[in-house]
Amino acid sequence: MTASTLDTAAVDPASSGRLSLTRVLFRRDSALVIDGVSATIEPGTVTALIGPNGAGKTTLLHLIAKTLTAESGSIEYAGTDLLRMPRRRRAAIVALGEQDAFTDLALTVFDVVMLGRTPYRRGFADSDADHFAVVDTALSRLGMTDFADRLYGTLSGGERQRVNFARALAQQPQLLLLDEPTNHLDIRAQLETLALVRDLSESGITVVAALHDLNHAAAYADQVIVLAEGRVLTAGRTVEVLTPELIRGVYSVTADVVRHPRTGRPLIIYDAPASRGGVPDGADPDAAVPDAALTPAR
Amino acid sequence: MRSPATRQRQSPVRSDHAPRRPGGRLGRTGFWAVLLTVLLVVSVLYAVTFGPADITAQDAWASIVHHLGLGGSGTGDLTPLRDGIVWQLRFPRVLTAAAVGAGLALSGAIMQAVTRNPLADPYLLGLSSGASLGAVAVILLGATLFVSAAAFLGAVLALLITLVLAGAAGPITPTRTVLAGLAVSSLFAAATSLVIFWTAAGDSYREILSWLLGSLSGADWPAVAIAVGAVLIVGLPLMASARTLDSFAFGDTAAAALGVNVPAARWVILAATALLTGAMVSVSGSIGFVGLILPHAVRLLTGPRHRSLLPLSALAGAVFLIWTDTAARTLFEPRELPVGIITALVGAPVFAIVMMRRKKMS
Repeated sequence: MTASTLDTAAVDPASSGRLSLTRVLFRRDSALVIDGVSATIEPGTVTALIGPNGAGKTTLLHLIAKTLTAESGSIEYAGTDLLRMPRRRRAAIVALGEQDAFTDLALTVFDVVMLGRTPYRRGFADSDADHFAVVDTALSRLGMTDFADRLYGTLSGGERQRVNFARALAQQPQLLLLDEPTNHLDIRAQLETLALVRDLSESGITVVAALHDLNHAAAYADQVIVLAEGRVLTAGRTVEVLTPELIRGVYSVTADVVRHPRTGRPLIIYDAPASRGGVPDGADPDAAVPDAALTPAR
Repeated sequence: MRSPATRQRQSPVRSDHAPRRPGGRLGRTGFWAVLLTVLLVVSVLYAVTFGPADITAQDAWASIVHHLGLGGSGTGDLTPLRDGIVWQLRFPRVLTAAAVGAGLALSGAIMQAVTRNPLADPYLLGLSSGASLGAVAVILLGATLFVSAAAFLGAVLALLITLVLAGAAGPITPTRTVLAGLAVSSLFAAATSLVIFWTAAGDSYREILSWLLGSLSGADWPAVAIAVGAVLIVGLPLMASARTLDSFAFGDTAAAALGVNVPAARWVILAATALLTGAMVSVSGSIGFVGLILPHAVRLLTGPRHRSLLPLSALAGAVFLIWTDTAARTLFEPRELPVGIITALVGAPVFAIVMMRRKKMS
C-alpha cells in the first residue's frame, strides 16, 4: 500500500465543497449558547475559531459534527445537508478531535487509530485486516509507525495528540474539527501540531480549529472566525480580522499587531492589563518581572 | 517543526517494520480461544466425576454418552441410582455453572464498557436486589417452585425502574445509569431485608441465605435450558456489539463522532445485558465477582478490544464457575457452601492483583 490510499480519500480540493453554516442556533438549559451563527468556510483552508472562554467555540464544533444537535439552522457541506445525513456517512466526512482525549483502557496506539475506521466497518465479517493499510498510512503520516504497539496511556501529551490526529486521519475525513489541539502541550509539541494542521489542509482537508492562543491563529490560520456570546462578531482573512481594536473589544486587552520579521504573518504583542498582573510599582522591572512583561511572550 | 518526511506523500509509506500487532494480538486471541475451549470441554467432563457419591470417571462418561445417544450400548454396569446422580444431578449442575459463568462474565465485560466503569458488574442496574426480593418473597410464601420466575420478574422490574429513572433526567449517561442502579439496589435490598426480618423463620433462613449468596444447588435440566438458552439467544447477539463497545473507549462524544447512535446503542445493550443477567440470577441467585473479575483478567491477557474480550470472557467465566462450584459442593462434604462465597474468596485476591497490575501499567 502507498500513501495514495489516504490521499484519494482525502479529497481532491477541486471537487470538494465549502462548509456553510446558516443561522445555527443551540440552547443549553434554555440559555442560548449558539445564537444564529452563519459562516462560510472554503475547502482546504485552516479556519481558527477564537473568542473568550464560554463564547461557544467547542459547542459550535460539536454542532457541526452533530455530537450535539442544533435547535435550528442548517449546516451544509459541499451542498449536502450535513445534519440530515446518516451518521456513518457523516462520520466518513467529518472527524472531530476532542480536547484531552482520554481513556481508561489499555489500548495500544494501533487500537486507537483503528477506532477511526469505525464508520467504515460493516457487520461482524468485516475484518481488521481490511483496514490495516489505511491505519498504517495514517500512522506513518504522523511519524507514529514505531509507536503502534505502545500503550496510549504511556505516551506524552504531544505523542497522544499525534495519535488522535492519526485516528482522525484513519476516518479519511474531508473536514477536520479540532478543539484546542495545542492544549496542555509544550511549545515544541504545540508548533509541531500546528504545522501538521497546515500540512493536512495542504493535502485538501478543510480544518476548523478552536484556538486560545491568538498568535497560533495569526501564524497558521487562513481565516479567523471570532465568536463572542454565541455570535459571530467578525470573520474574515486572518490579517484583516486580527487587529488591536478587535483584541481590545473582545478580550479587553491592549495589544500591538506587528509583522513577523521572517514569515510576514501577523504577530500579536500584548500589554499586561493595567488592573492586575502589571509591573508592580516601585519594583525593579528587570529583576521582578524578567523578560516576560517586557518582550513579546512568543 | 515537522520534519520534511511528512511531506513525502507520493513515496511508499510501508515501513520495513514487519506487520505488527494484528498478527500478534489476533494470534494471542486465537491461542487463548482454543485453549479455553479445550479447557471448557475438559472441565465439563472432568467436573462431573467429582462428588460425594463414589462414581468413577468412566461411569460418569458412560452415563452421559448413553443419554446423549452417542454410545447406544446402555449404561453398562451403572446402577439406575448412579446413572441418575450423574444425569439428573451432576451433569445439569456443571452445565448450568458453565452457562451462568459465561453469561455473568459476558454481562460484566459489557457493563464495564457501556458505563466506562471498571468496577461495574452484571448486577449494576439493581438486578440482584430485584431478583432477591422476588426470590425471597416466594421462598417465604412457601412457593419454592416459582423461585426462578419470581427472581426473573424481580430483576426485570428493577431493571425497568433503573432505566426509567436514568432516562428521566435526560440521555442515559454512564454516571446516571450507575446512580440510578444504586438507588434501585438500595431500595430493593431494604425491602428484601424488611421482608426477611418480619417473616423468615427456621429453614427458610438458610434457603434465603444460600440464594442471596448465590448457589447452583438447585440446578436441574430446566435451569440448564434457561441458562444455556439465554447465553445463546441473548449472549451471542450481544457479542456482535463488540465494535460499538470499542467506540465508547474515549467517551460518548467520541463514539458519536465515529457514527455511533450512542443513546440507542447504550439503551439496547444495557437492556439486553440485563435480561441475560436476569436469566442467570433466576437460576443461581446473585453470584458475585465472576462478572467483575474475569473481564479484567482477560483484558490483561489479550487487551481491551471487545472482539476478543467478549468471547474469551465468556469462556473463562464458564471454566471458572465450573471449578468454583465443584469446590463449593465438594470441599466440605456433605455440607455445601454457596458458590458465591468461593467466587468471592478467589475473586477478591485476584481483583487486588489486577488493581496492582493496573497501577503498574498506568
